[in-house]
Amino acid sequence: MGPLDDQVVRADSLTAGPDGLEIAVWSHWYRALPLPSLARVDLTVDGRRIDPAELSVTVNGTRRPLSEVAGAGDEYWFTTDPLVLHTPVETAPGREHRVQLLLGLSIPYILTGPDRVPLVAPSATDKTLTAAGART
Amino acid sequence: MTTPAHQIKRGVSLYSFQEEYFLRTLSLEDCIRVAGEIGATGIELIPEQMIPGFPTVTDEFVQQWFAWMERYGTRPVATDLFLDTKLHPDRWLTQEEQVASVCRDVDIAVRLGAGIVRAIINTPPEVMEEAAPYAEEKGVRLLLEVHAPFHYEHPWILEHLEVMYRTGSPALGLMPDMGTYVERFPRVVSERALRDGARPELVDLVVQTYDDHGDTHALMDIVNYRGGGPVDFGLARQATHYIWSEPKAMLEHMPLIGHIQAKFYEMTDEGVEYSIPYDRIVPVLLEGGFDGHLSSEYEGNRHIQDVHPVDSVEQVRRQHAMFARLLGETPGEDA
Repeated sequence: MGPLDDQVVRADSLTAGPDGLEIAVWSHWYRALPLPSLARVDLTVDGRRIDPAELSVTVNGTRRPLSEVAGAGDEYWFTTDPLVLHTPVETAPGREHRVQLLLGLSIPYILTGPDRVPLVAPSATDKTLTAAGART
Repeated sequence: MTTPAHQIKRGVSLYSFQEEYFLRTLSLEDCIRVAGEIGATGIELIPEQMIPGFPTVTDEFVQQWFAWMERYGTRPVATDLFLDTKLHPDRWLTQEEQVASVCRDVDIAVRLGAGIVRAIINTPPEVMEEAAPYAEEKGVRLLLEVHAPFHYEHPWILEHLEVMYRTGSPALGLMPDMGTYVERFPRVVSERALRDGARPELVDLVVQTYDDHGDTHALMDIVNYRGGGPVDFGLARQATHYIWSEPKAMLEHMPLIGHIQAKFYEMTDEGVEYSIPYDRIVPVLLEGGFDGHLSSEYEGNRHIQDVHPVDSVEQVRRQHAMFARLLGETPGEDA
């Protein structure tokens, strides 16, 4: 974790989407990573932990349940492109939300320990931000 | 000053500008422009870092890439490949898939006009051997990075050398990372640990042991015996990741060495690298007749970003001023 954690969720990250709060998230790793690297998404909004099974993700223009990114090894999350987390949290433009996010990126070429487990690079966010209207 | 009687060229790995690229204060074009302004002629790129849409490389990107090279007086020299052996959470890449990954990255290098591909240190020797004919056919050299804590007597490197010498493939070679010549502990790292709450006496122990070239592997145990916390332990572990070895060891393997990753952590106000004695490294490269690029690889940003804005461009500029001096170039060329 480091100062660049500040860039993972930004001031304009929140949007009131058609089916709930959407959160734009940037990677904190220096190179694009295959989508299965999105190993850990611990999200709490307004004090309520969001079950990962309730999350879906849009990256490279495709929306899929979070559970399906593990199978999308031929797609990459680019260094300067945000992915969008779709949450079931009810919201409206102008509403404030406290977003706590522990993001764990599994680094597929740095293996550690006798079990050859990929390094998980974490970042932590705790910000209260205002949702904007849906992007058109 | 006399005309340099050598063929060593100066380059920049755009990895050096990762902080500014991440913060979007430098675009890819800006990175190439500043490298050219600094006097570098060779550009090294991490495709995964700076090619939007990787692994697809569009015709538009390639066209733009070469236009930038022409505009800023630079040329593509090297790309860096990764081998994501744990791409899939439930299994390892097969050897066939690993070779395919390397060949894909050779194709990307060809598209970008780079004749050298950095093979990351975890690339197995058998994958290098199997990919070599393809690289040769494409006119690309696959150079294994010799990265700390590895060195030329390390079993992993020896296995690679065995393949290189046995096959005699012109496509295989070495890319030494100058992080293997860290003579004294980078102070940007120890100072950061202090700011993060490390105990001064344990920081001193780590730095002193390293600087004396003592047994750094025992440090992690000692830090535990002294009741150190995670920051102290992390610093002790870091001490095992740097190594100092004799730069002259490169002489024996010079015919295999096609590119140098000129790693650095801190160029001081006096124009020297705090930890890595380039004034003793560059003469070895001159003596060995090295004719590739000294390619800047700045990696100090992560250790100072908590206290002040990172200026990677100034750091690379200082390193190139040092290279110009050590290479006997006309003073002022890079000013």
